[in-house]
Amino acid sequence: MNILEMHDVHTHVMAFHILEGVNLAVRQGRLSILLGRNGAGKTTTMKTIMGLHPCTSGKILFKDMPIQHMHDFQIPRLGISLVPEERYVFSNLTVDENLRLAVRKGKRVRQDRMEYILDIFPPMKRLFKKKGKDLSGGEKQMVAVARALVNGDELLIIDEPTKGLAPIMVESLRVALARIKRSATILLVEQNFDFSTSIGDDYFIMENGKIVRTGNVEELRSNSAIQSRYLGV
Amino acid sequence: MLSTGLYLNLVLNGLSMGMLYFLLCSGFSLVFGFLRVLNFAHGSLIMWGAYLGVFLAATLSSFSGGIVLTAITIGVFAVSIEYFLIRRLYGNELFQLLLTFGLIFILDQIIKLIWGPAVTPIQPPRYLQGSLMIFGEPFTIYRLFIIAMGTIICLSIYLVFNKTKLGLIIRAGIESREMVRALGIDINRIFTLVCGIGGVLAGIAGFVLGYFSGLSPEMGINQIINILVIVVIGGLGSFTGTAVAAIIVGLTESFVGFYMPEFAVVGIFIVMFVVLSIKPSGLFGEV
Repeated sequence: MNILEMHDVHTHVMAFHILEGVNLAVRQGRLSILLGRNGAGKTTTMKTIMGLHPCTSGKILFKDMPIQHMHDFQIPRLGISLVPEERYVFSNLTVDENLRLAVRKGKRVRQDRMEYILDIFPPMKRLFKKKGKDLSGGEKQMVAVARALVNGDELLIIDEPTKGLAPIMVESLRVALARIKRSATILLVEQNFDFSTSIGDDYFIMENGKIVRTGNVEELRSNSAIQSRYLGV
Repeated sequence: MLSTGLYLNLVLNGLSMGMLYFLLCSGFSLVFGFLRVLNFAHGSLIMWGAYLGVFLAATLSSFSGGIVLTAITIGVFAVSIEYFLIRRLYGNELFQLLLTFGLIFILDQIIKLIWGPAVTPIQPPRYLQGSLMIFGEPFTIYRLFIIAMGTIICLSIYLVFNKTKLGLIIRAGIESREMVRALGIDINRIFTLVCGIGGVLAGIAGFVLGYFSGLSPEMGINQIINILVIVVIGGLGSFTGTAVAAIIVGLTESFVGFYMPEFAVVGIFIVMFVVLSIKPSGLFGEV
């Protein structure tokens, strides 16, 4: 079953036609990776799904429900969380406040969700009182992903999580995402081929605002022609 | 050599002016910090708070009833301005500036049409008139009331900012509206609410100012200049900066007025010159 589908989605950002008919289907319970060179339209695809760059035409379905005309703030309420490329951990808020801000029902993170988060990211325990501006890049990424987990959303959209991270942090993120994918569907945008294909199940390759290839990650890993043609690996 | 009593009197005097400035600036600073809208009409909202407040307090024969009703009325008015006018112009700073500047003329002229162009001195209720002896020096009760009001508003804003979900959203929204929306928060509703809070603060400030300095159709335009200078000293967008700057300006005016009365009027600009020379982004501003 597909949890998310995009049908011939076009998006303009100011005068630029960025997405030129994107078609993709994310299967429930899988970790799908969206690959492509810089400027291919990956981040715009994420933002279009979230309503932050509304599409100009086409259809986006979340669990068969059209969401392309919804307001940006309504889409997360359906059970979709975004971890943006810039991470956007609020610098003047503490880690605890960053997590509480994301809670949609109630004032605090539910106990079971907090236990789940701390189980995945044990170092979070000592960060709660720290302000966002005092966190390292790796800690920020941890908080950004943790914030996406507080509501137990069904679909997580994660944009370039390894960008700027030290190799040791990339490895712990890989372990964390491998655990998260057991309980949520993940759509991951990533430039780091080895990282993404080590945890991904399905892949999409974007070029010039379109999905040009799709399939199983195993197949992609073994096909150096595709890697070289589309990704320059 | 100053006596302790006189020295304390100057400090209290400065503190009362600082608190008055804080009341005048708080709504403006809040709206700018969150919405990035320089609401030049804030001074006019303050003036409406003053005129309407005096009218309502007299009609109700209640000072406290007047302040509450004024705060609510100006708050609702500010919400209408945001909903019907400003909302269409988010992201277009030039048009926002023209709109709020145009509102000054309209709001100020309506005041003149209703209440006339004359300057009207206003007496506070009897229990806030007169003065108390503090350390052997007289200090007017109404100035103590201003300090109390400023403290209450400051604490209330602190509590809303730091202890409520709304405060959390406002602080986050000041940093990134897009991310706040991406978390599923209807930021447009928060924009309207913040404008309403800004209006409530303008209403309270106007009410307090009206009984302090009297009513004048120029009071709005005069205050917006002070407000802009204080907000710049504190650092554009920083609410803490605004509070600290207001107190510093109040204290400076008090001491400069005592030692160098000929410079009293320019005290606020002296503070701005000194602060911006050392830190161009203002006391708490981020470059």
